[in-house]
Amino acid sequence: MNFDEDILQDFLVEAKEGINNLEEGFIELEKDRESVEILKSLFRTMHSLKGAAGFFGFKTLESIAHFSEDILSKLRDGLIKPEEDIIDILLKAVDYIKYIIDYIEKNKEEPVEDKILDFLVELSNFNEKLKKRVQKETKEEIPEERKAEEPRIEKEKSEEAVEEKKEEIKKEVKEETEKVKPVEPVKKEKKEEAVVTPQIELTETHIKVDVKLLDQLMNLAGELVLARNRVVQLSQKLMDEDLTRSVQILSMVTTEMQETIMKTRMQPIGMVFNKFPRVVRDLAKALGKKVNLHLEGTETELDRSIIEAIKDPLTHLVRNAIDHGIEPSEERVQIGKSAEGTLILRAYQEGGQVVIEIEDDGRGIDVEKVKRKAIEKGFITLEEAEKVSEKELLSLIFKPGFSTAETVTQLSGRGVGMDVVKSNIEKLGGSIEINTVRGKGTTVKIKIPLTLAIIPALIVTSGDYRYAIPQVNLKELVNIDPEKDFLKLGNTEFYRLRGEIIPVLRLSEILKDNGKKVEQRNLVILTTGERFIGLLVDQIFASEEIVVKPLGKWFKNIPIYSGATIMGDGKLALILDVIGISQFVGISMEEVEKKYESAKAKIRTSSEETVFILLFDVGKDRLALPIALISRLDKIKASEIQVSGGKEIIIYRDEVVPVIRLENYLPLQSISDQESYNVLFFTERGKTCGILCSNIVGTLETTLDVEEGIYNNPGILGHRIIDGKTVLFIDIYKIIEMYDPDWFIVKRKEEEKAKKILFAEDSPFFRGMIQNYLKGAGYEVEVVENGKKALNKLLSGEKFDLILTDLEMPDMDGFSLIKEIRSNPDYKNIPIIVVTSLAGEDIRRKALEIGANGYEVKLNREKLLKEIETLLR
Amino acid sequence: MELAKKENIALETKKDKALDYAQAITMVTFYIGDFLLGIPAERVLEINKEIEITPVPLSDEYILGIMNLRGQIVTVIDLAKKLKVNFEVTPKLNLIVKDEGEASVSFVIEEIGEILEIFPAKLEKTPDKLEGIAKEYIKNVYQLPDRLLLILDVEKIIQ
Repeated sequence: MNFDEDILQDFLVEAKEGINNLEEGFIELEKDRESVEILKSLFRTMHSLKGAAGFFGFKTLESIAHFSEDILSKLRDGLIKPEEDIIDILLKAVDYIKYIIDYIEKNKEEPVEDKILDFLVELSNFNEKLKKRVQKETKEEIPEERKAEEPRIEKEKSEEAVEEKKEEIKKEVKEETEKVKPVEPVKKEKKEEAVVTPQIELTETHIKVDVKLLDQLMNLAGELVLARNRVVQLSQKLMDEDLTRSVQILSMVTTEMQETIMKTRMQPIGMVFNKFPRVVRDLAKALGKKVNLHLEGTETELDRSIIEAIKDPLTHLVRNAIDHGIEPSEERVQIGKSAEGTLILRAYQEGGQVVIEIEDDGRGIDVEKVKRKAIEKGFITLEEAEKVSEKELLSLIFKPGFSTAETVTQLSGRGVGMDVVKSNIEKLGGSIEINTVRGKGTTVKIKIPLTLAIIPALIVTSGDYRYAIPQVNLKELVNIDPEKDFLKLGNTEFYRLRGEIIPVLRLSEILKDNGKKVEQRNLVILTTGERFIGLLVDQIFASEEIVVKPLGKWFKNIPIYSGATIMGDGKLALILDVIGISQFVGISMEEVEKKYESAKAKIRTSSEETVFILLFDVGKDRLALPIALISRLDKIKASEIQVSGGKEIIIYRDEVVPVIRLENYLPLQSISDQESYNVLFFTERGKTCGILCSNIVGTLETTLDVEEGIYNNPGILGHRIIDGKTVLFIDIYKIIEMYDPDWFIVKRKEEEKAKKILFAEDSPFFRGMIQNYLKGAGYEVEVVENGKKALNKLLSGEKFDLILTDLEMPDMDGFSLIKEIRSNPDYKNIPIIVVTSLAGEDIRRKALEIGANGYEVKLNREKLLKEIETLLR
Repeated sequence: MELAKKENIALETKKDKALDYAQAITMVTFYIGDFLLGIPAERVLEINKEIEITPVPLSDEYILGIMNLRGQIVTVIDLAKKLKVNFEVTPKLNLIVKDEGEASVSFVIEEIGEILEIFPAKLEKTPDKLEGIAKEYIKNVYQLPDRLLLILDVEKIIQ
């Protein structure tokens, strides 16, 4: 029998504990014969022992426990009194159990010995006898005289029964053990041995420890570290050689002790993984499928609290994979797959996180079916369904009440589950995503933090106090000058980080810290996984490993903290919750939107491509462009505009900046004379120009859905109604080019032939803008609206030098497109650049993982062109 | 089983009597403004002078912050504010109070009063005329020779 070592170890630990309880219980029972409580506890212990033994197939042990349990139940129910003989035989049973456990521990199997079988028979007979005793006492009121007679008859009868029973049990047990292994020839000597109850002292190799105790130990270790630090400082003052040496040893031992204690909480993920062979086997059998399970990275360690918490979600995902993913053998053979499905459970560490993947080679998720179901169940409308991307569809699976299984089986449940799986994972600070390729399989990827207890964090200050920011939420640190580098629009400040516009929060304002104001130059760029936020802090200290301690119930309603930690000097620092902090942006963004967004303009969810646009007026016309393109906004007096060399210029920050009047290039009415104008500054490659406008209306976070057609003017990408007014989306690159055709021209080597780029993008706005600047840079560009069309173009045989693709597109999104291209031998090596407005480390990594060569933000023209150039070289 | 039941009953009646004759309860007393307040000594974990409070911005007004008690995070409560007593406490001492199943909390006080033995039988209902303090947090009052001791309803305060 090949049990998993770990499970067997667990069983042994538990059994030993059980034996201890039993022994103690019986001793107590001697003192207090009538105690129902003790009997109940004895019964429970024996019962669980029986169950566990049965699970492992330890037949003899199970039988002993079974009969003992039977006797105990009668005692518990008060049917019989705990007489001496009963206690004796039960104690004997405990001794045998002990013996068997010890034997199992050494030999990994049950002993097959006559003395045990003999005892089993004795125990069984005793139990029978008790049954009769009970019947007699309860059923019949037997007169004294007759009672004396009966036992004799009874005895004869029962002796017969005993013999029969003995044979029966022996046979039964032997049969069972024979199945297990060939019966060892029963050694003759054993029979001669006096039938003595074996007395075995069990040695403990594992003990159970209350986690609270470990936590306490960890706290104490922390205190010890602090005390040690003080001693180290003192010893440095005293400069005594002997003292220094002993302090060094103290220091080393302390560190090691702290680490060891931390380790006690860490357990290999194998603890969870190892239960899956059984689950998979049973499930596959029940469903008539063949599944090969591979476990990888079982030694990856996680905090035990996390191990506990991921058990259920993992079980659910494994069940799903077998139930819905892997096809029945016949079906697999038909489509040319191996008859046996493969399920891989893989764990590995990545940064401060552990990644768990559940990968199957089954039929994959039928995205179309998900779509139909989503419409059917009202998750999305028909209209939305046409635009929705694969990723978005897959995310619907995590919505409550969504299940794609046609036949709801008992095993995979009724669509309750995936939502629970997701929320459970998120509760742990983790994330979950699905990748699926139709017909090839599905991979579910879960990312969870290594430990909830110790995390790396950046220490920052606000006022006199320190705060810790978990490293996982950290993107980068920027030194800035708030005066110069922030754009202020309405109540919200923004920072422009390499073409991306990021809302900025000031920690001192969030914390309502009214203390002394210091100059803040440290901007911490945070990520919530969905968006970036800049957090302006007073000071930035080093990164440290911190021990997370929960805050009391008093602070549950404050979203910006996730706990507190004790710093090296014994003082406390609060741990900031980045998602909680991001809500502060949420509120002010809503305010901005409320102000400028009419009911007509659709606000999309954050998962769609949204950008911040700036709305401004030129004369009576309202225009818009992405804020990220603008380097600065400022006001100038009309008198500052000078004319030089036939061009209007201003002197701005010791620089001559040409001023562009949009009405000269677009069909707009000219700006009437004003005392002062707003200027949008546009800088690229060190060259700056300014665009004159009469009024800044505000900002808006929105998608770039624009209507094309009415304004077919170069420089206009399209229009849209916002706030009841037609807003023209302008192509600033085109306009600048119209103003000065040489503006963007960079000296490049004469090439024989222009390189050809295939560009897939669904947004007309970006399609127009990027196409324009690509052409401006001398490339030939073929534009398509989605992945499917791009693929068709490629398959039609047209040759391209490079592919540029958006990620979020209808019909076929960028991820699928890349997957398809990379799986086609003809296009294995064609360079692919992903352009996106959703910047995120996760997405970037995923894109590169599946085969993209580059990843750029759409609005960063300069970088994108450079990347293209590099890849085409 | 029968026997066990009887025993239980016997025990309970004993307890009732105990209440009547009252073994004295030890009370830790302290002042907040003019009020003399008391907490059963069994609820008090310790009293110490480690006043290093880290404020928690955005928390309720009566919460002064958190402190480090040998590796435990302890929430520090300003009793004067919680009890709505018009008095500015200058934190000098921590009265650490146990909270079953949760981390302890600290009531900061200026000065510790006497440790008193009181008799439960002599506890009285909180008088209606008591003013200047939130009555809902006062469980009972106890007449001392020279003044009134207000027994705090610790459960309610740290609820």
